[in-house]
Amino acid sequence: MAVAAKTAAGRRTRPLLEVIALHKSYGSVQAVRGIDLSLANESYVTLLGPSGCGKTTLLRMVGGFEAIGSGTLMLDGMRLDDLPANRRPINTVFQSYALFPHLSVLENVAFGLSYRAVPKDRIKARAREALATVRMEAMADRRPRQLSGGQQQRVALARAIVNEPRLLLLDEPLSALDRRMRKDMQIELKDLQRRLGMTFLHVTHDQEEAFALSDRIVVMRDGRIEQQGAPGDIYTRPATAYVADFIGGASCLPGRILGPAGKGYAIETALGRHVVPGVAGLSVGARAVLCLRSEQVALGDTGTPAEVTHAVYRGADWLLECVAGGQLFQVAHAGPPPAPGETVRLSFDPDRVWIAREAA
Amino acid sequence: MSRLGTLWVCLVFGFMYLPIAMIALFSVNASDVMAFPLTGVTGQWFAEILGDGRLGGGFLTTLAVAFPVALLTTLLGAAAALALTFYATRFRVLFAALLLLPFLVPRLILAVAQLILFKELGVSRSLLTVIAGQSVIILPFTTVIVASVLIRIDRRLIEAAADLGASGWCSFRRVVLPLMGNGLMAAWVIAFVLSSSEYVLTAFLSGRQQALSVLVASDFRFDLSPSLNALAVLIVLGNIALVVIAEAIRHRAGRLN
Amino acid sequence: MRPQSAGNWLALPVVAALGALCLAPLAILFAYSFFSVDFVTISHDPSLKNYARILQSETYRGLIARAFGSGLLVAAITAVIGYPVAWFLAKRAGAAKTMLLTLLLVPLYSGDLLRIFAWRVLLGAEGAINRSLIWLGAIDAPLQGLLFSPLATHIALTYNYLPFMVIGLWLAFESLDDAWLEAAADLGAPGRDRFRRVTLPLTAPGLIAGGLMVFVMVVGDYLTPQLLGGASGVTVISAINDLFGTAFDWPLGSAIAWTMLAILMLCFGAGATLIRRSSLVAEGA
Repeated sequence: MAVAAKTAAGRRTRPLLEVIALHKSYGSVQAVRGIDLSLANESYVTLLGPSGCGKTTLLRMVGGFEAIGSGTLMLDGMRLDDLPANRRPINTVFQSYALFPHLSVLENVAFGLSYRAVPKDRIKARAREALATVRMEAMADRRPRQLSGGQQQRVALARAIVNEPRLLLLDEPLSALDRRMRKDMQIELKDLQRRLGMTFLHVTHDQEEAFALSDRIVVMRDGRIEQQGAPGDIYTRPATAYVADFIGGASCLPGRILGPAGKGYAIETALGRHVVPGVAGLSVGARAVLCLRSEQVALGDTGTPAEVTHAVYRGADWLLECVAGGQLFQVAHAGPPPAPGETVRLSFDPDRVWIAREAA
Repeated sequence: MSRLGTLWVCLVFGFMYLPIAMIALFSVNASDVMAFPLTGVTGQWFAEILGDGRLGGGFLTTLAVAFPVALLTTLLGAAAALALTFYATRFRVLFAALLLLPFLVPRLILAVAQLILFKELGVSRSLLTVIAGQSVIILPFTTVIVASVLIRIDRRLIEAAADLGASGWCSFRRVVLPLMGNGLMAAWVIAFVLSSSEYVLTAFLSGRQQALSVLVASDFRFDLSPSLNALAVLIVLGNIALVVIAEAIRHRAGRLN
Repeated sequence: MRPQSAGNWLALPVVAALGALCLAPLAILFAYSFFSVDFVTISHDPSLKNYARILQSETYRGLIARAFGSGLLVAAITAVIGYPVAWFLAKRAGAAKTMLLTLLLVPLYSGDLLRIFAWRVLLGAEGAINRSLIWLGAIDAPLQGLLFSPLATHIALTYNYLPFMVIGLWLAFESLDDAWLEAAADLGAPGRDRFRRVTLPLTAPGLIAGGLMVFVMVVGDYLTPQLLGGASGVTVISAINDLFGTAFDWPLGSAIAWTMLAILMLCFGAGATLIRRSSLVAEGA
């Protein structure tokens, strides 16, 4: 399926979607407070955050289901602000799929085509093609409620992509599926996005899902963007303690910056001084956190003494919880675990850990 | 869209309350003619109604019918609702259809059919026949009211009670019954109101003792006196008070669950 | 006590009561419909004479047709009036919903008689509307067509049964997920099409259920046409009443009653099947 032709120049110079200073409040509650975001063409972008962080509100404003409070939305350089949902070249995969229960699978997929410039006799064929791309052509005559969750998910996907939208929105599309199905669908979604060369904007609260899918992750918190970047950047170089904790559950050891040193900063913490790389722009004396992920901390003969409080078997390894200097650390440990109550010594490679801001 | 909707809803509710408002207005209007312009305020019509011994007797007859009807239909309605929801019988669909039947059959046809039955059985018309006849048509309403409370009760509560060692009867008495109590009260009140305002079955099945609704009907077939307005206002106010109480009880049940 | 057997025991008294006071009377009525009147006694020789008479009589056929016509008309009117109200109650009323629903039902409980009385006060030649119009100078003489006319009957019937239609539709709107409308908009459907292709088909079960309730009650209504219809108040139901009263032809009355019941049950069965089919669609079973 070919995406509507665009001039090559236009593609390169201009982002597909631009969100500029977007605000939205309900009564006294500010759901979205000042978001600037741009989406490159043919990218897979995830809005990641806990429930109530404003990610769904943002998505719904892009889709046209929620009036924008203030700010601007631009798609291909065209203002979307006052365009109703039915006239935006954007389609959505809804959280509960929202398949029409009174129509067959095929009729569901064909629904949007009746509002596109598609010849009447081509509509059914096009709908079948779309069903084939999600391997659901055998279910064309079923009713949505006769399908499993995963199958409904695929139909919802087919119903959206058949319209060849400039931008596809996905609102927690995998949250109703079980873990196994979710993994399979993640692979399929990513694969589909690559094959179609479409831009996907995906909302989720599941960081694993965001990592599996995205070219770019936008971490949101309290209606604002906390950090955005490639998955690897976000994981290895979190900007704030919040991001470090939300993504991969790093242990954040509070400290104070002593000054620039080596490739990063010297930081004073309850567990001593360390020279560690970190986010740019931290000034001397600033409060910051040292982020330690479970796989970055190791047990050894030297290092900080800590008491083991719990050991949880994870199949491939053990996750130990240890307390040192009043701070809880998680340690991935391959061998047989020390018993709870035992004292161990923790060490880490200062070049592999990271200093993040205490708050945005 | 929403504003248009609001306007329409206001109009429709206005339509629903226009007749009642009109009766209320004329019940205190100091003129024999029920028409505008209004001439002044009087309590004459209420005094006339309250001093009317015949209507007073009718009112007592109405109560004598409505109390047993409300009790009977609440008990039967509760049994029916339980059989439809919690302790579903195998014949549920058939049972539901049977319960709907009195609602489907025109009142007058049911009334004459019951009249023939009573005649064939040699039962003469009395308050008992009125109670029997009314109970049948009010039963669907009480069933629906109790069922509407029952379907909101989590069925796992019974399983939890059984898990904690309660027998079937015990779990009913200690779990289901307390939760459906509000539904029973609401059903009783609504049944009472429906019984007191029922005319067709009452008129056809009653003997010498005549209930208020029958007396009112014969009154207003012959002349339209403003005192009827006063009577209507009293009845409507009484009914509204009861219905509001019943609804309040039912919604309290909803919140508790 | 196992649930299943408990259910059967609970249903027993209800079935007994309904059997004795609803099924048995209707069965006797059915038996009577095959009897005939011999001067002043009732002859128990079964025959289809009564049904033949109904078929041949233009009067009775006309009355039956008119009853069903009225039922359809009032069902249609209440549907048009009630549809936006039900939508508003389910989707826009917010916290006021409970109160509005109660307010909608309250007039129902004042009883047929009082409601009819009120309309008589409103519509009569000496009634509030006429007198007010004269007082305002809009007309010189009272409008005669207001009371004791099919118009008066149908206004009051609409008034009587509108709440049932609204309740039926309201339930349908409550189960109408807003996400379906958003999905339709997302797929490019403008407002009009969202209504035609999504809202209307998905609320159709409520429309049928409400329509069926209104239809059945209008067809069976005795008092309203009697007390407000004047000369037009002769209905098939009042004809049955006459046959059991002054005309003393119980068998013919029974036959007409059963003809009505049979048609009503057919309508009900057809409606129930339609609803079941459309909710099968919704449930996907």
